[in-house]
Amino acid sequence: MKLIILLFILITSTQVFSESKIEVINPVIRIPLPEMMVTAMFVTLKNNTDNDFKIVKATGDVAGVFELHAMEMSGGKMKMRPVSEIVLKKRAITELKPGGLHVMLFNLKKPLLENDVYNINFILNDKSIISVKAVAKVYPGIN
Amino acid sequence: MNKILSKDIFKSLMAVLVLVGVFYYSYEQTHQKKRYNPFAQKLISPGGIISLDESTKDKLVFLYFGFLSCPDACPTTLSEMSSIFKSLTPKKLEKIRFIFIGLDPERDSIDRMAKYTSHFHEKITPVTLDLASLGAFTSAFGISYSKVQLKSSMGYTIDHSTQIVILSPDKKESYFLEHDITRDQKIDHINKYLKQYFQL
Repeated sequence: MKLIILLFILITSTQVFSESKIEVINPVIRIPLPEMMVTAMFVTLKNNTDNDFKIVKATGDVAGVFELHAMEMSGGKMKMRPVSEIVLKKRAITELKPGGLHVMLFNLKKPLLENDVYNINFILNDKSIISVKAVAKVYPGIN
Repeated sequence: MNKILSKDIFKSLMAVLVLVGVFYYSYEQTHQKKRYNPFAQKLISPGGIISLDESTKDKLVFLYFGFLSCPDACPTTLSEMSSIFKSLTPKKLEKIRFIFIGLDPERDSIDRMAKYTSHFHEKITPVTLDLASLGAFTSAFGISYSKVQLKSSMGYTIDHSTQIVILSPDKKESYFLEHDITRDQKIDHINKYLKQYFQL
C-alpha cells in the first residue's frame, strides 16, 4: 500500500506533459559517423501554454552524458558552446536544429539503428518532464 | 687601467653580439613567415605524404577544414558536397580535387579521418598536418580556427571558419564557397569555375 501511495505521489509530482501543452515535433537523433565521438539530437517544441518554460536537463538510457548546446556563427567562425538552459517561450515554437540549439549525446551505450526509437526526457525548470521519442536517422547524403 | 678598459670593451662586444643575435633571429622569423609556402606543406593522406603542389595539378582544388567531434557544420558540409559530386558529370568531377584538412590532429589521426570520410563521396581526401604548421597553413587560405576549452564532456572544441576554399588550377586565385548558401547556389558557383578554367 505504501508503495502505491509513493508511486501515486511520484506520478503526480512529475507531471508528464501531454502533447497539447508542449508539442514534440519530429525528434531525431543523428546516427554518428564512424570515429565521431559525439552525436546530436534535434526536435521542434511548440509551447501551447501561457507560461515560459526552460529545459534545464536532458536524460535517457541511450547515452552516458547529455548536454544542451548552442551553435552560432560569429566573426566568420562556427562556435559551439554548452548552455545551462533552453528557453521554451510561451505560445511559441522553439527549434533544436542543425546550426542552432541541440542536445549533444556522449558515450552512446550501443550503436544506434536507423529508424529505431530512443526515449529522451527533457527536464524543465518546474521539475516537469517532456518525454520525447527520438528516431535515429543517418546524416543526410551519406553513402 | 688597461684591465678596466678591456673589461669595458669585452662588455660592449658582448652587448653588440647579443643585439646582432636578436636582430638576426627576428629577421629569420619574419622571413620564415614570408617564405612559408602552403603548397609545399607536407600533408599526411591515407595514401602517404602529399603536397598541394604535387597532387592538385590541372584541378580545381577544394579545401575544407574541420574536425571529427564537430557535430554539425562538418558532416553537413561533407554530406552536401557528396551529394553535389554525385550530381556532376564524370568529366566535371574529374577536374575536382577535394581535400578535407583536420583541425584537431591531437585527437583525429589520419586513420580515424579516413574511416570517417569513407562514408562520404570517394572524392573527399582527408589529410592531417602537424599542429605546429596548422596555423600558417590555415591562415594562408584565409581560414581561422581556435581551440577552446569547454566545461563539457568534449574537453575542448575547435571554433573554425566554415567556408570551402576553391583554388584555381594555377593556384593564383582563391574563392570562398560560403557555408550558408543553398545547394543550388553552390552548384552554380562550381559550374561557373569549371566553365571559367576548363570550358566545361
